Amino acid sequence: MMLVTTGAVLSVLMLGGTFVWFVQELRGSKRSVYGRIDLGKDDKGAPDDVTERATIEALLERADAVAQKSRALAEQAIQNIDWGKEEIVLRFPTGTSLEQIEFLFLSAMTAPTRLSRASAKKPSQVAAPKS
Amino acid sequence: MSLIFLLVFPLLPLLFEFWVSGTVTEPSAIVVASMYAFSIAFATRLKFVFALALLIGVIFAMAFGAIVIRAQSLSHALPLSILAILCFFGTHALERYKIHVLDGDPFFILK
Repeated sequence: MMLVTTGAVLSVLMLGGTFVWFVQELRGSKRSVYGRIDLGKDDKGAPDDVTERATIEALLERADAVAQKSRALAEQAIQNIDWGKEEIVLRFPTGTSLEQIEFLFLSAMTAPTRLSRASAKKPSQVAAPKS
Repeated sequence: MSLIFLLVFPLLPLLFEFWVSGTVTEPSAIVVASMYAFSIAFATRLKFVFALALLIGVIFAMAFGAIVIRAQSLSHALPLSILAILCFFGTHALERYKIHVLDGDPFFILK
């Protein structure tokens, strides 16, 4: 009798725990950073798994690569800032595209504290502006 | 589909017994609860459900052994076993809803 009662109590606890988990999942508290991308359904109502999963993965890998490259560009630019009285000159490696620089500034605009911290370190290394 | 295969099929022995005899015996309910717990444990993707379901399966297996040895019924064993079965059903139904409806994972693809 004790065994059956214990089993029943544990199963009720298990149901309760699963319900809590389910509510958390509904609220999205454990969703991934990128969230859920709805790419539509196939005839049977399920997402086309192979093609669309590959597309999502390629998209995320490319986004990650772009972000890493931008970070590398940002670090190089910070190392080569010329602080002038009338202008601040940023230097980027030869071949850097305008789009990459634009992306860099767009990213920086969402995190102004990082830029101000970086600029705060460098004023002592002011170099004369090169004409 | 997963509801039928994972949640209803393991209960078929109990359902057939009820259909044929009009009632469910204690040993049947307890052994089905044990097997159902094991099947949920191996079908779930949640660690805490896996651990609890394994433990509950062992507990009900021991209870079945106790009933067979004593050859007498235990009071309230039948309703408690049915309650446990319903809890397993609800637990795995919630998980499968999340997996197949919210996340859109297909059950399986036969090739």
